[in-house]
Amino acid sequence: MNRLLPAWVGLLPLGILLLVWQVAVPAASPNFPPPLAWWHALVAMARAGVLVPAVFETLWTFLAGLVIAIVAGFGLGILIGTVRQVRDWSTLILEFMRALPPPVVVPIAVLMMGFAPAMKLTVIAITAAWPILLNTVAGVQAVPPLLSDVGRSMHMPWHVRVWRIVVPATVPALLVGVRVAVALAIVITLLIEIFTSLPGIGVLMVQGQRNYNSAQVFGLLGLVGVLAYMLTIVFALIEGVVLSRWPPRVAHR
Amino acid sequence: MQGGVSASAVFELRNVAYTVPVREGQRDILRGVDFALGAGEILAIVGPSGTGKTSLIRIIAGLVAQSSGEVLFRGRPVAGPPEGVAVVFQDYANALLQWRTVAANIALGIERRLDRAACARQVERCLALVGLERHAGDYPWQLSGGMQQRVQIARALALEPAVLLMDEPFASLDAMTKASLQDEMLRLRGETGASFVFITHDIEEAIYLGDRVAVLRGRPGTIAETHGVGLGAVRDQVASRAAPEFLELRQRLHGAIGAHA
Amino acid sequence: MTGRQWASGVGGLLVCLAVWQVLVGSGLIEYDLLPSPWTIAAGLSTLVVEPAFAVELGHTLAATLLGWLVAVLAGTGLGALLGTSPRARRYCLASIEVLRPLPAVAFVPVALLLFGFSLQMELLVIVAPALWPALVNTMEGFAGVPQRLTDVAATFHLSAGTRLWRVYLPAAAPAVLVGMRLSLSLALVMAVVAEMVGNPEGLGYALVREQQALHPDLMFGYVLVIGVAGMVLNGLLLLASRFALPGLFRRPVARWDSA
Repeated sequence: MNRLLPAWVGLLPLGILLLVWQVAVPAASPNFPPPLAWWHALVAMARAGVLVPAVFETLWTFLAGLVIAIVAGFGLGILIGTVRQVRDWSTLILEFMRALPPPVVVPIAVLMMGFAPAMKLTVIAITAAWPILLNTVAGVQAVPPLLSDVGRSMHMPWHVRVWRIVVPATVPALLVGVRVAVALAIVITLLIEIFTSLPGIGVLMVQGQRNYNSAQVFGLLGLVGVLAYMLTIVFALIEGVVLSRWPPRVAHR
Repeated sequence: MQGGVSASAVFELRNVAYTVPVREGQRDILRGVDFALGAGEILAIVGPSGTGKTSLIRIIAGLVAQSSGEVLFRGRPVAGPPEGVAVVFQDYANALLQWRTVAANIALGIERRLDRAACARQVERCLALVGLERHAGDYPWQLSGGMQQRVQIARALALEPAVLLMDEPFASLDAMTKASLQDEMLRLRGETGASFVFITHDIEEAIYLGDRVAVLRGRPGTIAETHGVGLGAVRDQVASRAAPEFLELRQRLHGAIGAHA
Repeated sequence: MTGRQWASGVGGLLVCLAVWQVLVGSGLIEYDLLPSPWTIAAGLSTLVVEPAFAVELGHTLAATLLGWLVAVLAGTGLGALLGTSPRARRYCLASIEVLRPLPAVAFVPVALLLFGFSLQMELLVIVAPALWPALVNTMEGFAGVPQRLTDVAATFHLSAGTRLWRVYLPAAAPAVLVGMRLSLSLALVMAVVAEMVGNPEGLGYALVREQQALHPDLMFGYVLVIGVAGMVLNGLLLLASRFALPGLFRRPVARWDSA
């Protein structure tokens, strides 16, 4: 069975749940509005011209933050992984940062940078860089030491060995980190929007909740779910293409 | 026994010792290693495990420095991997870049100094030397062990080395593949004129491939004796292995290793 | 870790703190909202002796552990079921794959809508995401039990209960433990999130309160406390699992170095 796309019959439980919800619950239910009401709420927001800009804003921030995180996390990870002195000196700092829940970065950044769009990007980039950095460091250390001998016996200087051997060898580990970072970046993007009311989907959710517009809240939850699922599919496709060069054992860890 | 310095020596080791630091003090890996490798010669070094075979090849290759003694390549002390020397490692799966195609692996050592066309020509030539023309676009993990080891040999040949250092290259292959790669190696020696240091724990393989066989023995390891192989340049898997010279040398080497292992 | 590595690690931390202290303390960086490490330490020392702090810490830890317990019980149970039954997997996996990426924080408005500012709200926000690591890892652990072992179990005509207890559980235990650890760190994260933007109690709320009151020293103090809480929880669970399954954990050795 294709691991990327499990059997579609597996969608039955979710479908049945939504169907029963739609049929059993009255449309005006204050707490558990049925799925069609979600849809109507989304359509209403789209007509009012607030939905599309919010989705665009959220996706754009997410993507920009993620790209910065990948570049910074991978670069630093390669440095820390290949230079033992840097690794030794940074171990305790890294251990503490690893234990720190990413959301605490949000109030710190708000305090230091205020409610600026740059703050949003910074927070997403910093938090999403961690899993990438840590996986990259682990990946570098899993590169077979024999490859170092191979490079040196071919007279490659240190930076060439890093660039031609360590960096590509660490790509599968990078992808593991990016997978975590994608999920984290979505969460942090929404959290900032909820926390600071900077524009985006998160703000619409808070507004819906404050106005007791449960259909809007559930509708946006569903929308966020669909977006998040689509992002994971896109990522899995990219991952599949990249990892087609690696042995299946590595690709499927 | 091989004390005299041959004028045409490519590599020369004089009284080489190697120690590594361990938790309490240090451990001697090699002690008093002397030998010379002549131009175009295959020197087989045979020894049981734990006698420092891999350390020896890494020292010759300039990958680690000896603790004392001298390692000379073309009369100059070795400091770092010398130009014109290529290494073939036993662990082909880890020595190949699994994410590069066979052709890209072979290009690894030459892609920085040759232009694209020259590099492609050289890769093609080396693919043909080991008979992998049809697998240029495959990834190493799609090939059998014997084919992966051929890729590693082709990658070494692409450097056009004067000396090939081979660290138990056929040890993890099955008997059939091993025999065909042995013959391929002898053919390549004829075509390239390179010298070989061939490390193995297999006495018969050492005799079959070597012009001379050196015995590495003891802990710390040292070259205990060296024997010329009186088989002539052309070898045959059946006839050579049944020749009286082969059998006699085999018996002597068994004795030399077995009595002290 | 060797003694030298420990020394360098502590050294790196101290150098960082010293640079920070000098930059802020000497006025090279003039910025009211970035306290020096010394100020943070002072703030932390006044913070931890206040009775309110114990209540906040207790609340967050209680919510984290309670949510984690629920998530682990439900997650491992469902995971074991799905892991041992290919048919159940076939009919559920796609639903799980669709629901799993749903960002946890999006549950906050829903939870607030349903439960208001309450512990239930917090628990919903914790359990919803913390369920997945426990479920998925348990499922993969059980589904990955080697055929060899299940064949042996079948040959010996073991009862279903014995099979579960003696064959499946030990074979899947490492994966289950990984799931439990991931769930625990996620539970703490989500407790803090729920307190930051929802239920005004616990460490998460205190963090935001100090940020809004422009008390950066206390805010950083709470950040430290939350970080340490995460390390302690993770450490305790690691210790417990090492005790339960000795020989499972081996540190990878650093091998690729510039030297």
